[in-house]
Amino acid sequence: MGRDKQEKRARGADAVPASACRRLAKRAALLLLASVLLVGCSTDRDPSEFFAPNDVGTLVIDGLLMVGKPLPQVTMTRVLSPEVAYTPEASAEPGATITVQVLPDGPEVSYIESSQPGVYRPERVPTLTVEPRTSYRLRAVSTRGEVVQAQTMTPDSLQVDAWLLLDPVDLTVVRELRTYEALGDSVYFAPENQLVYAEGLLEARFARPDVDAFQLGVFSLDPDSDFVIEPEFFEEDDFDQIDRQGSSPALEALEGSVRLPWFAIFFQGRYKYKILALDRNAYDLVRSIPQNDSGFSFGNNLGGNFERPIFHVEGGIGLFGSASADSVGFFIRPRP
Amino acid sequence: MALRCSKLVVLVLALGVLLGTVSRGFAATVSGVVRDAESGAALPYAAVSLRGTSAVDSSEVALGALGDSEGRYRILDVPPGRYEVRFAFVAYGEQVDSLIVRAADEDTVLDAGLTPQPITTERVVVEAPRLGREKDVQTGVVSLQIEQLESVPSIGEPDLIRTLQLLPGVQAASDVSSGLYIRGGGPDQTLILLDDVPVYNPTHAFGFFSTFNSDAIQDVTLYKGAYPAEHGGRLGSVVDIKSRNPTSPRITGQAMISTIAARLTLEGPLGSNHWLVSGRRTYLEPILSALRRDTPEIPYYNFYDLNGRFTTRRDGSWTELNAYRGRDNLRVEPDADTSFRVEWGNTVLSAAYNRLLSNNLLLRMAASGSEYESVTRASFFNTPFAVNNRLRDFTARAELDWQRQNRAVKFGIEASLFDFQFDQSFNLDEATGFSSTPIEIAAYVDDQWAPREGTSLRLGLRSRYITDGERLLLEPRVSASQVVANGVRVKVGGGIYNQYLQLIATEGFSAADVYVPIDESATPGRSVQGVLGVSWQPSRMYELSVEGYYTDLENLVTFNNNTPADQESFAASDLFYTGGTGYATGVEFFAQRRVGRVTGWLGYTLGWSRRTFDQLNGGSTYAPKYDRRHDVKAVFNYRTGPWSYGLTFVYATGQAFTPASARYRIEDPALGGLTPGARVLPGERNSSRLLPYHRLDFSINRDFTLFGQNARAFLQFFNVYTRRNEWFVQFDNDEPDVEVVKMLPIVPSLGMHFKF
Repeated sequence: MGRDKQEKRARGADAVPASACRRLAKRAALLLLASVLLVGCSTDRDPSEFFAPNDVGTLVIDGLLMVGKPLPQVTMTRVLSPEVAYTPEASAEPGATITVQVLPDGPEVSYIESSQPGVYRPERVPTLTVEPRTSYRLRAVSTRGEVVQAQTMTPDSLQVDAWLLLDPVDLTVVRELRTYEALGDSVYFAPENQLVYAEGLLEARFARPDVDAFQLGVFSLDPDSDFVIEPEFFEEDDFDQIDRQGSSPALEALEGSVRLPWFAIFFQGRYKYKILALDRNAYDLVRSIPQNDSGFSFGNNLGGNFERPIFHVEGGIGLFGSASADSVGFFIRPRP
Repeated sequence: MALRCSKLVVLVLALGVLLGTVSRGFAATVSGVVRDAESGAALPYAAVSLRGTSAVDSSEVALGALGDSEGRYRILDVPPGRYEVRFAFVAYGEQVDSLIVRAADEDTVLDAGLTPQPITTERVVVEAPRLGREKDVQTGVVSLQIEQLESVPSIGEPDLIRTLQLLPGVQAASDVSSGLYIRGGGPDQTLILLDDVPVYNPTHAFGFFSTFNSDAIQDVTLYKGAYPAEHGGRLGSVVDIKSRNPTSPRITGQAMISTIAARLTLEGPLGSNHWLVSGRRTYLEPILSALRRDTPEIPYYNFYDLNGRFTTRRDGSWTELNAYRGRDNLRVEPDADTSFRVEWGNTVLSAAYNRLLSNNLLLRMAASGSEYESVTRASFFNTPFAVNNRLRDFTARAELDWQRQNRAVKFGIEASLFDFQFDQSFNLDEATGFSSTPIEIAAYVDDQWAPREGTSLRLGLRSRYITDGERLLLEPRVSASQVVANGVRVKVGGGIYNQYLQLIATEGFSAADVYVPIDESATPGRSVQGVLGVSWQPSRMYELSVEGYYTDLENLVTFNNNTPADQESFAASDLFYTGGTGYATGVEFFAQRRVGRVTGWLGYTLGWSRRTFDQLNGGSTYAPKYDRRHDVKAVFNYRTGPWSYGLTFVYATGQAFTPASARYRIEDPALGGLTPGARVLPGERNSSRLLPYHRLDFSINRDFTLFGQNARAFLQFFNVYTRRNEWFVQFDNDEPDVEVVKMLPIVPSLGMHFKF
């Protein structure tokens, strides 16, 4: 008996390794597959791996001169690392010396820091009024001695000749809207300026000044007004992402007219619609900056579209540009 | 006008001089078609040898030829005499026929029907110097038969373009892209031909599938670079796809159902002629419709293809008529205020007439039309916009193909009328766009010569005259190969190439692709290519090759994203950044096992690609996103009895992308202080890399009979270990968050293919 067992063991000793090897191989294959599957799934990585914070510390200038308006405030900040959330406080550049001079030999206006860190305003009030077709130069010196300079040539004044509501079928004029010039802030309640959402086309016609491009801005002025859109495919979150103001990309408007797209209107109530004629600096920025992702854009910050904007600032980045503008007010009512 | 005429005269004269005298032969020709004896299908590139004794001087005669892709062969300069003709093809039994040539001007037609049988390793020895196969004499050439395409795992169903993406030196932009990025070039630098006619947008489903129904395809030849003079118009490469030649003596058919589409192909005789029709259509509608009940933004979508071919053969002439039409239809109608409809596709028609003018002179004449059209109608919150985009290309072509035993000269001339029509309208504004009908006249000569066995020299010149800008372009081509040891061949090739048509492609949405001509405001792109390679065939079973390439690029253009949204000018200089330069270089290793139970290939590419534009990246050189340092491809197919298994593995260096370098805030000029949030500042262009891409695909195929007919069922797994490869990166403006959009997880698909 004992000998039988020994023989069995002996036979088993020959047989076991083969089957064990097969089992082992099978398990190894399964283990390999499982580990490969696990490895395959684990492509998540830290966001910092997508950042190359080479520009941290670069100075940023931001000021836009509006023709016919006083010299604007100028903001001076430093870029932050992409690895941190943006806050105005963290980026503010206090203590800078800033001047704006009318070229070639015009007056020079000194700026002082306002109560907001990094925000500077003309030292004297009232200050200069921005003139059309005039060059201005900004010079800013940080507390570390870094110098940032930029220059702008202001565009001609922009005067919209007519704000028209067109018939969407034959594009004939249904009526002309009243203006701020004529009615002031009561323009929103003028019968001509009562627009029903998605009925007609709002078109501005103007003598085109000699500029590269225009930009449109639309502002819902009643912060609590209801939505005028009712998209069945929206989730609650989608509504939360809609801003009450929006701007267009750069437009050539070679014919001297622009139409307001209805997709810029989301709310009922009072609206202000502004058209800007841009100088070269503002035009280059608007046309080249990756658009803000407001929930409706796709691919703005990816691939070939994610390209460094065109800045015209020596010693830093940002905008020291100019524009002229005209605007109209109206009231949006929901569809019956 | 006088200038145009004089340039044309110069062009034709120059090519005429180069062509030299086309002489007639003084001996007989033996020609025919080699077919599968069972199915009647043509056997491409079969070897034919002729041996015997000349009745003229009693000398020994040993001649040979290789068939073409449609099984046709010709042996020239056969003196009167008694011969033995042997036909051989891999995995088929050899056929030997006796032949008596009685007169020097006799043209003998001798067809062969070979029977499938296990592989033999015996070679047909062709002793006289002869012209080699295209892949032997030309650098960077890969030919794939439809059987190879079908054995490769894919998504949904076999796909020609996706199989090409598995070759070394060929890359894909993503899992959902059918674009071909070949040797560091963009997808628009590859000319895709279907029966010698360009197909301008060869994709379905936004690039997910190619337009080529594999049941209607015979084979595909890929010229990865330094392509010959008979082709032109692209800076990089050529994909030459041939429709399947219907040769069946009776009506036969095949059908396939897969996860996404169904296909049906019928072919048969009509008198002495043959025809083939094939169709493919998706059937996703019921699934999408069910999903749409709860989610109205789920689109309506389908695509279809129709292929047709008709061939006739009469006493030394044959005619081919080809037709293709494919359409994609997409509709998204989530509510009454917002909708999106786009329909796009290609239509290709061609007629080709081939006639043997003498023993060794073949005339080919062809007329073709190719159209790519995309029509978009949309309304986004009651703001309508419309885009009509169409490119038509009408081409007439004539080619003389003179061939002796060791020399072949092609002389061709072709004239193309392009018809570009593009208009777009936003918010009911007056439509803007462009309309242009330039003409291109091209003439080419291609002289291939085998001065002695194992040596091949190929010289070519392509001249192009384009009315747009009155441009005369000269493009010399050269390639040579030399057998330096048993089975070892050294190859070299090069050429100059210009690209007049430029593609504006929308990332991730191929339906919006627009071709525009490089008008007189810019200079067409130009490349100078050089390739050096060594191939080794230790046996019929194996082939190994190494090729190094360098392409110098100048006058490149790339789409200018910074134009005003309503820009009315469509001049090339307004649409593009122009004057770019660059290069692509690398080395490819390729090992292939061609016959046996296990077949497949292993490829590795080490490559660099760079671009420089004054207007981009501060004028500094950058890597295009498809630059890949390492690229590994492995494709295996194992057959045992009725079962076959396919396995592919791909590894590639991660795609280049632009990282975020900072976070800052500038007010939008129109919004001023109401500007929301901050912005991210792009860093150096494409200076970072996504994670390496890798993927394993697997397929199981089972052959069986269904109602007495051959059938095959397949089960495929794309991305077996569900590697979530990174596709692209989107940065959040305010927060240090990054959205990394991933590519496809594991995608199983199954289907059945049967013949009747």
